[in-house]
Amino acid sequence: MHPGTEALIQAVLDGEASERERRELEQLLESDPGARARFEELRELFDMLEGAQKLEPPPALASRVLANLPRRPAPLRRRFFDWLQVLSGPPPALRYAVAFSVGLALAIGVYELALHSDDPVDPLQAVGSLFADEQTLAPHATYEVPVALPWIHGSVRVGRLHGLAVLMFDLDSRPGVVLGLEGSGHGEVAGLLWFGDHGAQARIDDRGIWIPQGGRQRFALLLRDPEEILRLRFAPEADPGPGAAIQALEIRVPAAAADSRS
Amino acid sequence: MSKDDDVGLVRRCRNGDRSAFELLVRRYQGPVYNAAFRLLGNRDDALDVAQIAFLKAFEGLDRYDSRHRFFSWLYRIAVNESLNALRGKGRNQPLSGAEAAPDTEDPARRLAESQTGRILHHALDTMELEDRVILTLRHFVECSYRDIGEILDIPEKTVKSRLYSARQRLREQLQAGGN
Repeated sequence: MHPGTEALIQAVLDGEASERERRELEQLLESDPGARARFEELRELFDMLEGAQKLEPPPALASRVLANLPRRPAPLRRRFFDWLQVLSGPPPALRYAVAFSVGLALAIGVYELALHSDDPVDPLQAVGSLFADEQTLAPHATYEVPVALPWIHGSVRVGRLHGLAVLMFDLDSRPGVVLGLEGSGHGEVAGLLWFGDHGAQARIDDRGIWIPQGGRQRFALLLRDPEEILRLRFAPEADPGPGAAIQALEIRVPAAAADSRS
Repeated sequence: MSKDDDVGLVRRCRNGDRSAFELLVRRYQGPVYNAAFRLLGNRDDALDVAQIAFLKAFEGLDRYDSRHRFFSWLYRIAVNESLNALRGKGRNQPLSGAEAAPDTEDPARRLAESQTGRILHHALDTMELEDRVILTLRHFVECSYRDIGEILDIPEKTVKSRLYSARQRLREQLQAGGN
């Protein structure tokens, strides 16, 4: 069959043909048994596809989306730290060079500010700038996260920087995991920073840190004035039902004296 | 739904009106969920991916270019998220038992439709992802050639040729499955 005839048949069945093309096909089908057979063949396939059931979206979809919308479409805090993720894109040599240059410039800026200004350095900004080089956080302890749960594994490093307790997570989880801080002893959440090239999906909401997308996630939680012992609670989803495998992990926050940048 | 309506809602979202985004979610949750379901073959995964797609769209509203249609942009996110999820699982997921139950009242028709649906679903599952994506967009999300071109960032001519080839292969799969 002529390729033009095939294209014409499919355009008509797809509802993409003009009135003139439809009339042209009608005439063709009357005079060409081969074209008629092909048309019937394809119409049968189209009927099968069109007849396939379309699913109603579950009510949970809209409610889950709306419950998890961030405060505004593009949080300024995330934009500010976007460069941290950009650094993972280029080749390693260029990445390190950029990281070193940016880190050096920011470190000088922070140092100059501290020397020549009476305004206190914003610790969140300072920590963010130093994260170009992750080694600036000397970990005081590393915890495996957590035990015997099939839907999440990884580690948490904990240290101190600029008066903040810093929990650096390197996790591999399924989508929807919620990581909460139990009790009221965790102090004030100063920020959440993302690293690397793994989607950086974790975000803070009322329940804690929500990880909507599966796979590897690397982020740091910054806490101001936490108590010495923190209890992290890992839940498999936003609203775990009764009997859900929830695991808590106790973390000891190093004393303020151990701050590597205070 | 007209492009202008969507663009107006997007503008309201950018100005902080979250109720405008709710309207967009309710308007497009059906196609987004169905696209994810047809690509992933699993209702739970489809729910997760559809949720992520909407949240990513919300977070990326500043990057949306209103010269294009909003739903094309949104479906593109949904398709990409579905493909990411499939890659994350390392393989196409089996679809057995995943076909939607028909809602007709007639038991005989129900059975026939259910069997047809399973056969179709199985045939689609054996196809290459590129074929599944284009067939899903055309037949389960009801996109036009132009829409598909925007979503996949390919010319309409390529949309047509890919659709023709995908249908040919689907037909062959169905025939092979019937033998």
